[in-house]
This record gives sequence, C-alpha cells and structure tokens, in this order.
Amino acid sequence: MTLALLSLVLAMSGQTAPPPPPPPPTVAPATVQKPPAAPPKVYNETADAKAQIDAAVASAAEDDIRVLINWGANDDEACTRYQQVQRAPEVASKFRDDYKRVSVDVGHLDKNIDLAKSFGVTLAAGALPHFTILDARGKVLAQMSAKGLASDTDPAAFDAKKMGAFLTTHQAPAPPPAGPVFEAALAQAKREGKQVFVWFAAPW
Amino acid sequence: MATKDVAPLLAKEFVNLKLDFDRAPGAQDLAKRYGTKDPGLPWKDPGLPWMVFVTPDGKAVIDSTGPEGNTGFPAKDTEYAHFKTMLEKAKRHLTDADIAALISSLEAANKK
Repeated sequence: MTLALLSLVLAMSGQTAPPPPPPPPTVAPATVQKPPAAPPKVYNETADAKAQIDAAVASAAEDDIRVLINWGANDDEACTRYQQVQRAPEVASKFRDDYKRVSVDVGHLDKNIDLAKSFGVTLAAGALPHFTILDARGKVLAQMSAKGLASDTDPAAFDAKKMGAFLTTHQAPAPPPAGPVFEAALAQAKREGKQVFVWFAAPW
Repeated sequence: MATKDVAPLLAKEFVNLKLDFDRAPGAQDLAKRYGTKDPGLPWKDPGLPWMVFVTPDGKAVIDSTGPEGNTGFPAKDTEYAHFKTMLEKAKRHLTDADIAALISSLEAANKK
C-alpha cells in the first residue's frame, strides 16, 4: 500500500498517518569529467567521394534541384570558417531547399585530386574551400574559389551575400506551376482509367 | 514510393504526381484545397510529405492524415496500416495481393 493511499485510508478512519521515514542520507555522486566532444567532421575522410557525388546527383534528379560540391579539408582553417556562412540568413534556405550538398575531403591537396580534376577543378594551396555546382545530370555548371567569396572589407572572412548570389545565379529554375500539371495528371488518369496519387514533398 | 518494387504496383492504380510544396507555384494552394477538412477552420500544415488520392474528376478519395496525424512516408505499424487503408479505399485495379505486396515492400525498404 502506498503512503498516499495509507494516508487516505487512515484519514477516512479518523487516524493520522505515521510520519514518513526520514530520507536516506544522500551521497554526492562521484564527478566524472567527460572530455569535450570533438566537433563533427564536415569532410568525411574515409568516404568514397565519387559515390557521394553520384548519390547527390541522383537525389538532386529526384527533386529537380542542383548539387553543390564543397572541396575542402577538416584541418583547413578557411574551411572551418566557411561553415559559419552556411548558417547566415542570406543563404540558409538556399542551402536547404535548392541544393544537395556534398563535402569532399581533399586532405592536404593529396586526396581526391583526380576526382576534382574530372570536374574541372584544379586545387591550389590557400584556395580552399572550392565550390562546384552540378545540374541534376551531373554536368558542371559553375565553379567558385574561396577568394571569390571573400569579404571586400575583411579578406579573411567570407561574404554570405556573395555566396547567396552565387547560389541564386545557378539554382535550378522553379518547377512548373502546380495547377496545369495537376490538370494534365487528371486528364491522363481519365484516359487510363486510373486515379492520381498526389504527393506534396520538398527537397529537404 | 519510387522504388523498383513499389512503383510498378502503384502504377496499376495511379498516375503519380509529385509536387514540390515550396517551389512549385500553386502547390500550397492545391494542398490546402485537399487538406482542409472543415472549410470553417484554418488549414493546418500536416507536414511533408503529404499525400492524397484524387479521382479523375478531381474528388479526394483519401489522404495520408491518419488517426495519429500525417503518416508521411509510412515507416511504422500505424503508418503502414493507414497507407493500407488508403489503398483499400481507392483500389479499382489493385488486388488484395498487390496491396499486401506493396506494404511488404515498404516494410522491407525501411529495414534496409
């Protein structure tokens, strides 16, 4: 019988509940210092980068958007600073809605260099991160070096507005209006004796 | 829904139409038209993906808002159950065996 229930029974019978037992002495738990968690690595150092890019292109094709390849390295200071740019309000929705993103590890310019070359990218010291935009079939549309995104007032900083302009210039055109596409699907369903399975989705 | 096992079965019954909710002009109006159960209440965004089966004359048959809300891509038992309910309500060409195969394919795909 719980103490609360016992109290209720005793109260109903005119008795009072015994005082609750004193709490057991508490012993402070031993303090365990956890090492600070290492920040997640942006560039997967063991991934098959070609497969990563192929998967991104396939995924972009499903949503009819584009691919942004970020060539860089985890221990490159400029690549680390660039991560903040992605969260800037000017570009956050562009990254989320209009591009499938792939970060390819190039180490100390000694990894995935041939892969980069196959996309028309020649990497040089101090030029990281470098960006390549592909269409949904994997065709190279545009390149941008870190220098091209540098702030005019602080060359060591990235300019989110420049990144936003680069992404906007090369984003896929908007899909056709839903109304006519829906009407066409209804007409096709009528011809074929089917119904329409409409699913509303988003690239993110 | 586009997997090689699922797509051919769905194609027996449906014309597939995927609309980009954010980018396709008019997509949100269409979702509101079919997603508003009570015209007196404001439309409530069900979350994405959201699905609706529509007859050739534009009437909604059933949508993916089940007893526990929008099922999205079915990934758990209650969601498989609602998707099965959707298919059973809409079926004209799909057989019970087709529907069972569809649900099994979805379950298998989610276990990969």
